Amino acid sequence: MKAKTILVRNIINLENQLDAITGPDFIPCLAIAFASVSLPLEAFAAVFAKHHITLIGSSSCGEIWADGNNTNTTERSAAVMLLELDQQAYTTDFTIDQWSDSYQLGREGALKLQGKFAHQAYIIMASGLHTNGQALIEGFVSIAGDDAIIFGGLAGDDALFKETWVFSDQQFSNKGLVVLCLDADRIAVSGLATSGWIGLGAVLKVTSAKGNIVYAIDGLPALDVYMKYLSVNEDDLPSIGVEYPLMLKRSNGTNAQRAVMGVDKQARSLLFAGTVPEGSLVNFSSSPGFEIIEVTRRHLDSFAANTAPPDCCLLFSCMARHLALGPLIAEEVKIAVSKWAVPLAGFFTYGEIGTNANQHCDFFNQTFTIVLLNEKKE
Amino acid sequence: MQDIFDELYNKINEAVNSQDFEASKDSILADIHLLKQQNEVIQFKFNRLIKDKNVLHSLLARTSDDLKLALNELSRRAEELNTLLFAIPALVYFKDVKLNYVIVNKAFEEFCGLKTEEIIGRSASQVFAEYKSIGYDHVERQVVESGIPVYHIEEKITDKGRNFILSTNLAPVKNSLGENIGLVGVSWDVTKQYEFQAALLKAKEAAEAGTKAKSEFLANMSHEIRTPLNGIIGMSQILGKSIKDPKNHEHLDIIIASGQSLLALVNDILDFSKIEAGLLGFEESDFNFREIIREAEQVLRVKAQEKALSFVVNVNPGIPEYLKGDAYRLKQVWLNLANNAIKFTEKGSVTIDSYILEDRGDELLIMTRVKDSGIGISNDQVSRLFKSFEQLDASHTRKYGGTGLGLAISKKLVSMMQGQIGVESEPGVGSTFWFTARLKKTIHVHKPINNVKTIDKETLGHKLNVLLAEDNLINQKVASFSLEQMGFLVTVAGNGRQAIEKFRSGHYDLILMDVQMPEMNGFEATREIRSIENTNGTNKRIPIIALTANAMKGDMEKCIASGMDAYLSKPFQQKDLHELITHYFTE
Repeated sequence: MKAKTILVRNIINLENQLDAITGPDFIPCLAIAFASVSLPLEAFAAVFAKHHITLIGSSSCGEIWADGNNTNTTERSAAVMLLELDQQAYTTDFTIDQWSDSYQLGREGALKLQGKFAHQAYIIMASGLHTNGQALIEGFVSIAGDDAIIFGGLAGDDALFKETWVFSDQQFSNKGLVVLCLDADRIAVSGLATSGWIGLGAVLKVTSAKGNIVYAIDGLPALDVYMKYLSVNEDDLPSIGVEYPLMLKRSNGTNAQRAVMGVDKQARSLLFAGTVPEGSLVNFSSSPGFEIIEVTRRHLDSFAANTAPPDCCLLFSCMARHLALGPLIAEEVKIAVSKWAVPLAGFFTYGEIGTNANQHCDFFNQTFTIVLLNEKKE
Repeated sequence: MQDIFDELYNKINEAVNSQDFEASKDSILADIHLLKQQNEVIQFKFNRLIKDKNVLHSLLARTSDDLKLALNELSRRAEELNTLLFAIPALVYFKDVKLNYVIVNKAFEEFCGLKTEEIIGRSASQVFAEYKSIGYDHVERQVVESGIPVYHIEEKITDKGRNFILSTNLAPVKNSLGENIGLVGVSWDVTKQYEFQAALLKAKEAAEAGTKAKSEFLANMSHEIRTPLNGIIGMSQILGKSIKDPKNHEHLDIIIASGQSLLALVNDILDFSKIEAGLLGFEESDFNFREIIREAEQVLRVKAQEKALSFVVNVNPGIPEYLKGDAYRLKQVWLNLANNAIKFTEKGSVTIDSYILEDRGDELLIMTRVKDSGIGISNDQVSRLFKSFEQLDASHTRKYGGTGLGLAISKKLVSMMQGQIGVESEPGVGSTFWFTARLKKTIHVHKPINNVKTIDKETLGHKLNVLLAEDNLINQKVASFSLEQMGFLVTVAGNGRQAIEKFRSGHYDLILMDVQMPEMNGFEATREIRSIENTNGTNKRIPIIALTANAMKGDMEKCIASGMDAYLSKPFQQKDLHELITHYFTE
């Protein structure tokens, strides 16, 4: 496997860089791209079609790029991972949510890829604002299996909270799922999701909720609960609810952050990135400060010690980390880059998909989720 | 950052001094760029901290509000509970697993005269100085260990010279993990209730004693009435033998009949009084069932003949000859039902059948059905039949006589024989009264208590020398006459002492001994006579037959104990005495 990354500012820039990078010693067949909604995504995809490069990607909320030496976290750009590998070792798929049901979307997406390889690993992206990340994963896992290797992120839209996109070289959708399915016997996929967020204040009970929509907490409308406890205005949501998400205390002993993705001012309800079951216990959560970088460093150190060096990395980092760390986010990215010094592409997400403490695929917010791709040597 | 400032300051100074600004321009600009970057980070951190501070401050304030509200609510509820606990008008306490008090209420404080802080952490024996508990700690421990409540434990407590009786309910207390952490006890002072109960019991006993005294009085009175009545009847019968004028004979018969019906009434009242007073004795001895029925039948046959009724009495051959039970009472019930049947039947028949209803091996349930073709009884009258003092129609009393006690007495007697009594009837067609009695099977019968055959046949052939001990003059006359009629020589003694004197000085074949006599009663006299016999060293034992007027329960035992051999009810029938003498005392 050969991997190279490019960071592009516009279409012309993309054409130039592709021309420059492609040559006898590097003929990419697959691209994974994370692009700002400020770019013309149709034209962007068309460039890859023209170059006969299979493309999967999603819109983002800030892009992350590294070429092995240099690192950059940017906005209004696109980070692209270009791969040259055996075309028999992967397949891609694109599904549009025609059911308005994230579980069904996950299930259908997984069904289409069932049995492509003896062992499969998945990189998936889905429209962030449209999707209940938790339900999507549950649907996907219902087919792919509880122990399936799945990593990915939910598409962002530069914190506009309007429309989030997934795309291939052929298709676009603001309510879709795009999947890269890898032959796990040939391409090893591993990863780590680390948060560092901590719960704060009183534990409250979700008194009315359906799926990822929460209507009432402790008997009060969900929107009013946020406004009351954080002393904020209606218009501060949903972004304040991304920085200070709810920490969901699940019955299996694991905790997960649930970031606010949308607000219904009439119903005074909140839309979350993943399921918040009625009756569950939650409290507010916050990054404890800049030391979350140290948490990431510690987790990455122990992870790296037990993992073979990769050919390339993908990074799905929650947009809330960007907000919490500001310019220091670059420090966090550099930890991963300096660890392996391989090409890396990633984006700031509206939600991450990775492995939880119980070693099962799970849906997160607020995490730094790194994914390592490594072609197994014959 | 300070380092970069210092370096930049030096660089600018150097550039100014060297006058060659161009040479160090790039380096200075790089430092300025670095400073700008670091300033951005600082600025961000600063803004971020302010934002975090605001959010967290708000979160903290709200959470603190929540906590305050929750605490207020908790303390309000705690206060409510405390108020409630203190207002409960019973001793309420919570003890830990070591059975030391943890919580007690106001009533508890007041009861033991101590303040809460003097009670908490201490055991019952420490709180109640004179407390002596028997098995109570054990019960508490059991409740804590088993987790099962125990109700209504009563405990006597002596404290500071006062005596209390407490009634206590104990329930185990568990924590949210289901572990036993102690027990809660609720105690009531039931001392007053106990006092009331004792007073009530006393009152009840007094009332019962009153009723019993009344019944005893009535029983005695009946007895006192019976004695002169016996005299009237006895003497009238004796007189009858010497009166030749038919007109006078008729008058005498009326006197006798009236006397007999009065005697029947008095007997009913006596029985009923005995039942009420709980004095009705019940004898159990072997008897000949058919003979008893035959005797009863003979009593009524004349009456039936007078009314030209067909009077049929059947005893099923399956019923054994001898049975064990109270023959007298059985006969009484039989007579009562049969007598009623004849009394209320103007024409037709009275048929009486006895048969075995149930055979339990050692016991038989004998059914007797008394069927008549009399006036009958309607359904609503049946329910009143067996009650005391009830006669179906007031006019019956006038027409048929009677106390209205017959059936009530019969019912009581039947129940004493573990039987039942009832009636099936159709007005105008006739009635069938029935009763059952449980009687034991037996092999043979012993009429007398002692089977001493000391009278030889030859003596019997001549005149028997009989000593009659009897204090009542009328009874003396009636009995003497009867005995003389039987051809016996009679010597009368007025009391026990006279009887002993006569026994010492004379030669008698038989003693008839009244039980109740002034100066010395029949028991004492018998004991003395037996003692004299022993002292004399003669092997002769004179038969002594007790004459009992009111055979109370226990009299027979007293007769045996004193050394008597048999007993007869007063006034005795010549036939009975004859039978006793010929069957049991003759060699």
